[in-house]
Amino acid sequence: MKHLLAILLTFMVVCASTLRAQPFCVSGRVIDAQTREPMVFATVVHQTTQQGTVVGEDGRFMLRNLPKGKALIEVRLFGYVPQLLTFTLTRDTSIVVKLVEQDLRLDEVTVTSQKQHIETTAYTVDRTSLEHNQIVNVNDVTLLLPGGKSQGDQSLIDDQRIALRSEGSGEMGNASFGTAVEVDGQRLSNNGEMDETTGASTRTVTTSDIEEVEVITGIPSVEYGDLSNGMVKVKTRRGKTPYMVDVTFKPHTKLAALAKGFSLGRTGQGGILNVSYEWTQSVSSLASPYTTYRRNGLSLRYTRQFLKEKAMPLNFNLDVKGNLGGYDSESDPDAFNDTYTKKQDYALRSLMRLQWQVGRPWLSYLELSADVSMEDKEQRVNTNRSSATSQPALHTTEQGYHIADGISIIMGPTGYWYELAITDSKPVDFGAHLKAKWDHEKSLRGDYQIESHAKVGLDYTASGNEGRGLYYADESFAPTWREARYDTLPYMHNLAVYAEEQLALQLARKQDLKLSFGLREDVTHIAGSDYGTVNSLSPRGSLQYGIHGKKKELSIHAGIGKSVKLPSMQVLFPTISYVDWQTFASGTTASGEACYAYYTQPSSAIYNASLKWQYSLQREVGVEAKLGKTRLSLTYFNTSTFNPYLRTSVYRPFSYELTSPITAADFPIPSANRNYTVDPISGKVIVHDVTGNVADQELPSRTLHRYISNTQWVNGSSSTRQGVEWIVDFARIPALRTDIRWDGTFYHYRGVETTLVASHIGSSTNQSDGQPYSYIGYYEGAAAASNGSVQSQLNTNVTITTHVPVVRFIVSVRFECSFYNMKRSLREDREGNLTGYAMLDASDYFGTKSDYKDHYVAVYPKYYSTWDDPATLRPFYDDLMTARDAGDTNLYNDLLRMVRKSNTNYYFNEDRISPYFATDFNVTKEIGKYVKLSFYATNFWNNTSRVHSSQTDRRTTLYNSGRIPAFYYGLSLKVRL
Amino acid sequence: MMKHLLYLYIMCGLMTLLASSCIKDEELRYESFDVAVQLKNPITGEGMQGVSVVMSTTLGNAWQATTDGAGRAHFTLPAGIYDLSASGQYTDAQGREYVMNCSSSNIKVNAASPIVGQGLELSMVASRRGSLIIKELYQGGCQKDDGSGAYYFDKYVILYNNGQLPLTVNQLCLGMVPPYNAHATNANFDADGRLTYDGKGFIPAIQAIWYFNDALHLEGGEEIVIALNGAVDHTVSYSNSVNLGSADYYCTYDPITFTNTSYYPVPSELIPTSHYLSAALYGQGNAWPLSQLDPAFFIFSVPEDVDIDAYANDANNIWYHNNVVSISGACLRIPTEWIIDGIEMFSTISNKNVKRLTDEVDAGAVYLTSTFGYSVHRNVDVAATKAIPGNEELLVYGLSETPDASQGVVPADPSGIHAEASAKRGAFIIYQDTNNSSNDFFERYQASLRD
Repeated sequence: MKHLLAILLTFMVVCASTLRAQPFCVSGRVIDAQTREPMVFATVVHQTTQQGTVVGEDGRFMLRNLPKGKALIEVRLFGYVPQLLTFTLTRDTSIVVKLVEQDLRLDEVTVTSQKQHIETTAYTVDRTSLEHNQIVNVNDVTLLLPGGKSQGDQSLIDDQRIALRSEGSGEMGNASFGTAVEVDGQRLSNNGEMDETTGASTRTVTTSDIEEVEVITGIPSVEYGDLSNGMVKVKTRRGKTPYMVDVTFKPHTKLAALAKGFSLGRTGQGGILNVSYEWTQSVSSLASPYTTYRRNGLSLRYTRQFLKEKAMPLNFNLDVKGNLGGYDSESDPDAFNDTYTKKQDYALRSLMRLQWQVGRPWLSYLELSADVSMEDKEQRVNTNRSSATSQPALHTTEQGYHIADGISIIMGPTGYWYELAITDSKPVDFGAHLKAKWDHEKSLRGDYQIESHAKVGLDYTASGNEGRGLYYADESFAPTWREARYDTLPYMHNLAVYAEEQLALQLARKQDLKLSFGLREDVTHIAGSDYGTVNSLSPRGSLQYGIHGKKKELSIHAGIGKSVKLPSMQVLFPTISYVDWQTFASGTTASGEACYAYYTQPSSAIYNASLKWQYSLQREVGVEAKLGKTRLSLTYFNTSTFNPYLRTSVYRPFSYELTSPITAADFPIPSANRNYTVDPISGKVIVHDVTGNVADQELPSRTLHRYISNTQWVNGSSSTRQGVEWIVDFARIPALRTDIRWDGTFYHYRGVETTLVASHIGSSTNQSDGQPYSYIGYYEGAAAASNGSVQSQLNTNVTITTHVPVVRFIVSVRFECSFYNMKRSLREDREGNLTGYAMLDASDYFGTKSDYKDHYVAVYPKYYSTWDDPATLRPFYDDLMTARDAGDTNLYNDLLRMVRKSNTNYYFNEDRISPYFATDFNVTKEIGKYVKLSFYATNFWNNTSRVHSSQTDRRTTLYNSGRIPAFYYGLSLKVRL
Repeated sequence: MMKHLLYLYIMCGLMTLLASSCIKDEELRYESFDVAVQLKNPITGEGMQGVSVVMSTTLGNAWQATTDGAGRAHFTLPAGIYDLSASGQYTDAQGREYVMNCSSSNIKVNAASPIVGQGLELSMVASRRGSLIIKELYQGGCQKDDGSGAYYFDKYVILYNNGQLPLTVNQLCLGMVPPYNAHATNANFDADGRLTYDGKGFIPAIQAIWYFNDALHLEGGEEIVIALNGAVDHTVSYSNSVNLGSADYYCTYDPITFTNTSYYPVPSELIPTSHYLSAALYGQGNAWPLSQLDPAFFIFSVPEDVDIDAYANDANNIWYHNNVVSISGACLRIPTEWIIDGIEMFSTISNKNVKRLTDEVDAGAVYLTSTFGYSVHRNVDVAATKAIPGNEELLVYGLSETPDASQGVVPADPSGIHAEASAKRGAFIIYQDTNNSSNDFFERYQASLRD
């Protein structure tokens, strides 16, 4: 792996030495197209080198040391349409940029996602689209992707996560966990979470100050690591702006926001400070609007350019973003007095970035950044408790027998009390990043020209958790519980080095070829753990070939890449588990008191030293074309996820002594004079007479066999997602001022888990001899009827957008169509052979390995083990047949309990849902220059028709089915002062 | 231009509407129809005279008629869907007493219904009258003292020897029929509206059964209390509850099988371990969750030559609730000839209650309003009780009615006899046992253990 990285670096050096940089200047003025006034504080950025500057008081700017060749200069100012200027830079150039006010008077306004014309698949959702769709959670931008589905209630109560190119639940491969989210270049990491392995929550990200969201579903640059399912990049508003007021009303959600971009110092030499505050509140129920989720987001974003007049200007950014809020049910009058659940969702994130625009042949650009993210996700649950008897609460962490002594076992109170449980989780992530770029070009013979854009970087990130874990405000009222502190666990450190070369070859006047390839090496170190240091290499590459004509354009792109997702704290450090079995209990006295003894078997976390990091192999091929005024794009993607993190159980046998309760009447020592002790090793219970009149009495016991279960994370089987995404933007209908877009996706998923997993039927099940059930079954994939699934979907959207600039009005109707929706459960082995037995009757246990359709299916464990000999895996089917033929009824019946059956005879039938549709309606109207009103309604016709399921041959209503959005609506008002 | 635009959006809307299907509700008519119900005696094959027949709707409205000499009962009913319930008694030539029951669900009465004019002919189901009966079931819970809701861990059942002779029952067991709640989804019906196990010779017992480890011996008129949760004095913390910690009581306590100490705190030290019932678990769970709202509960005796644990562990004896193969719905087939008594309970908070016990065991249902400390208690068989010499003058009358008895609830013993008070005075009480909870039980104003 290291050799590959060295080869790439050598290649880049060769390119850099072969291709020469000839620095040129681009200078000019930025003015208002209408008033011709200078556009102070507009930003001018050279897209390739990322060199940028801010327009001065006179409207002038200068970019130095730009490479020869094709130049892409972007000019932005809030409230104006961004301008992207493309020209060939062969000498120092002076330009005049005229910015046009961005409002609905413009001819070109988009309210859908736009595909980027680059060598991978990526989409951009701009501010106008976000406002038109009234997005209050970044998670909801996925509805604007090809084939995306609307959410009815975009409430913050549900903490849904983004999973790109996935249909989410029921799929293998942790697609959500593999989808990265960045806000202004700072990653929202979820690696520090102890109780979930999913994607990062976006509820704390304010949406009113978002300028643009970029969604990369294809092959990302090697600059981006710790992901396996694409990424979402959120860019917030920067630059001088007027006061912006944003108010949104939805039945469950209200939002109010205020933002402004200040210029500091006279003419802004002191930099620009963008300040925004957003308050958002969602309620869980309209009937009882007291249980809420609140977001109070404050964002400070400071931007300044140093050495502006010098040859090598330095940009400085400092962002500080915070959120106070969370879920709170305390004020709910329906809950009993003082009972509540509060889940804090506090966040403090900061990013500092230095961008040095060197512009020299030996270095074009250097960026150094550092970021830190601290979250406080403390959860407090106050519960009203009561009991007629004193209940045992186990707190011991020692193996052996324990009797209620007020320390290892605490006897709880009788009567009424409150129990306040606090789960303290404080995920922490920090990192430092160094990135350097070289830009070179060379003109070849004829019209040929070659550009080289190389970058290398170093990434350091660390994730941990400074929380205390679960504890109780008053431990005397705590139930059975053991402290498991998060803050004693080591941090996960990751150091990555990457190098990427992008070559752009101008083949002829109308043709170009872009080739991008890179390598990323991640070195993950977890101090003080069995995992040690893990290396993972991620090579990625893509190319794009384009032919450009006046009326026709064609572009083809293809890419392949590997991306690695680092594990979460939950995966790395499974919680220590304990089993406690009651071994003795004295009779309850008249006052409700009793004495309990328990056997405790602790188990330290089982680390899997051979755990590999999950990764995805992404492949895609796409084509884009422009035919007249119609644009279309089509992409085929294929993503295979390997070594997904899979949670399994490991069982270890143990035995303990069970002593029967004794009563008041049939024992020589009166209950009032009894004192109980238990031998911590043997478990023998001895009753002492406190008066000394009666000799100690040892109580008889019997031995029981049990298992302790521990969680171990392993690498599961691979799964594949593939499909086709397309967008067709038809030529505008001029007479109607109407655009029609047809986008969609055909998605196909298949995953079968064949990893051998152990399963025990349950601790409260006895076997034929009266002992607790003593067998462990080893199943392929899962101790369930199915071990995988296949599904396909064809979802398309037709969006009709009518824009009437004269009256500043835009209306869009989105027709969401699901033409094909199929899902089928699978039970098969790695080679695709059926491993279940099809049966006609639910009470059968034997069948044939034939088509499962309209049959119950029985699944046998491949092996089983016994309590006495847990290491030996016995062939289940052979032993079952032997027990049956030999008339060993007990063993036969006990083994049959490990057989898993499908719940119904249609469980494995293909479930094809008949087509269904929904219509969404959005309208935006500007009232003068300062006020903008938007209204939307999802499922506007409130479609409640019924769909047919081929699995059950039944028709069910779409109402509340989750297949289409519920009828929902919202109104937003934006004022620019 | 706007016209074209309008057309475009209208077309879009029509596409959605075309894709949607419409459901029209059937028009309801409000007419009355004459319906005749003929009941046949399954032993003689002739019509049964003097049988009380009740036609009831799910809303609680009920019409009653008695069969004539030909076994016919005549009704004039509004159009609607009815449940039929009928009970009677029969003594054969050998002097054997039978309880006759009959029930039928989803009887449609309207102009198109074939039973209007033709009538409805049904055969009654005969079952032998037993002497061990369920006298009272208290499982609905009571209000906590702090006002935070209901307390449910104080359930109990009283079994009673309803005959004057001693009785010994071997391998006595407790079971409950799925679903746990009468108003829960119940797919155990065939296309004709009959329970799928009706007439198949068994009743399903979900999750687990409890069994006595020793034979139970009861004198005539003797009763036992079985604490179904927490054999302790619950009144220590819950003043509206009951004391289940008496030395004579029995209790369901098997800490190996059911480990939930909230359901099963260690029993009172006064209760001998010989009074602990054991559990045979073939389903799933750490407690036996008898519904606090509306269970179907029954008692049965396993023949001595059958090992209870072995029977429960035999995969061939497992039957699945709702025909869904799941350990959470695993039921044990209990042959109907093993069954001694049963009680079907409906909840007053639901109008979707569905029968679970077949007519052989219980042809009716008693309503309960849970959480207020009420129990369901058996009615006194007035004639039989008064027939015992010297009994009549010992009877106490004036049993209180349940305060909030709602529609469909029998608020007190129709006889007005206060059975417990009468028994304390020495009366020998014979309870009504027609294998029909609608007739046999009433909702008692408080659990009798609080008297």
